[in-house]
Amino acid sequence: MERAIQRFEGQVQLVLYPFALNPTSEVATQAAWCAGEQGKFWEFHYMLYRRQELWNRLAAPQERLNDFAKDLNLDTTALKSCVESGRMQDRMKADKAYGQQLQVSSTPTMFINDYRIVGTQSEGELVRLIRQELNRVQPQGQ
Amino acid sequence: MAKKSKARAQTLSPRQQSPQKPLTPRRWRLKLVIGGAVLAVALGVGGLVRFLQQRDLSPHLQGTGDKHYTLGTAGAPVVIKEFSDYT
Amino acid sequence: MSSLKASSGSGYLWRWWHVCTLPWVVVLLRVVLGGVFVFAGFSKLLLPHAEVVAHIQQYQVLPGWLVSITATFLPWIEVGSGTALLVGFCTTPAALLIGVQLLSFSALMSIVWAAGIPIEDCGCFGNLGLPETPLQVLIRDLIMLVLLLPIIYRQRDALGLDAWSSAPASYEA
Repeated sequence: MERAIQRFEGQVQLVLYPFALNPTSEVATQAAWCAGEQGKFWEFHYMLYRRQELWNRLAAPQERLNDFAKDLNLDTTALKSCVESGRMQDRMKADKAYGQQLQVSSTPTMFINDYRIVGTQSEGELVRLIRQELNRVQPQGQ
Repeated sequence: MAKKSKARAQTLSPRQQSPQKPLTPRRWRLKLVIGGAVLAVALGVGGLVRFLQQRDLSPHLQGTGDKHYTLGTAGAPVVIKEFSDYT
Repeated sequence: MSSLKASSGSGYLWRWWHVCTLPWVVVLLRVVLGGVFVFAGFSKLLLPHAEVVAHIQQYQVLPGWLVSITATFLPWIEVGSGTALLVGFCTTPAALLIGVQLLSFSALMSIVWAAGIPIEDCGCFGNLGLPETPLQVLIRDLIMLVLLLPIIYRQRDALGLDAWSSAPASYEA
């Protein structure tokens, strides 16, 4: 996705809405946002995907995620207390409600402007869809 | 033989003996009309459901990515809203 | 002894066939099968088109261009054929169309099951039904295929538009 966006610099913006489908994912989502308070959301976000197999089957992944946070030089005490405080719950619920309003029921679901795509797409397919939408909103010559 | 044909003539009523239009073709046409109408209603309801769902989508998608993490350029002509799960 | 067993076996089948082709049983089968397909069609129409595309794509069997066409037309075909069967209108063509769909789904599920493609939810009833595995869908579809036979065989005698239109004519003056 990031490579696809880089190809269209200045013309595309990605907005991320974590849509947690289970309690394990909810913890990961809150942890990512808490890492964002320390200025490292995207680093934590990518790390969650890179090391997915190491934590996604745990019923309580907090400790494992805290260990990962150390690799990113995050303040793990602050991260842990942030997650445990539940401060991010409202935000998570609001995103979930927004997704449900848009009839999002499986992930990943993307909206390229109004055009919905469900399921993982290859970089080539993403580039094609972005180009198609750009051509629609910015016809050639304008 | 003569008795049989007499008996047969006696069982037929005057209405049945006179020339008539069979009802079957009319029923067949009526069947097509009723069946077609039922199908049209069912498909029409399906179309309405689809239309209402699509109509609501665009207004719900409006709005900026406030309080959400973004990549790329703010105000870009193409905005990708990604709903993803970490697991 | 063996001939007795054979005759009792075929007698058993014959009794079941006789029961299944009773008019009220045929009506019940028509309503159930027609209802299932109407429900399946509407449950897909309630979903965004891209969700239906994603459900079909997960089978990894159909080529890309066919996925989109299938996702577009399948819900309408299900609703149309299911409704026709439900009311007994053009029952034989509707039943045959449903039979073709069931055969196609059965073939698809057989391939998916044999290939071990992991499918948690077939998407047969959108978000309205219980998640079904390919094997469950295969068994269900084969049962429904068998249940179509009495409908095709006996539909003229059973309550429905076709039966009404082909009733013995009462003559107008």
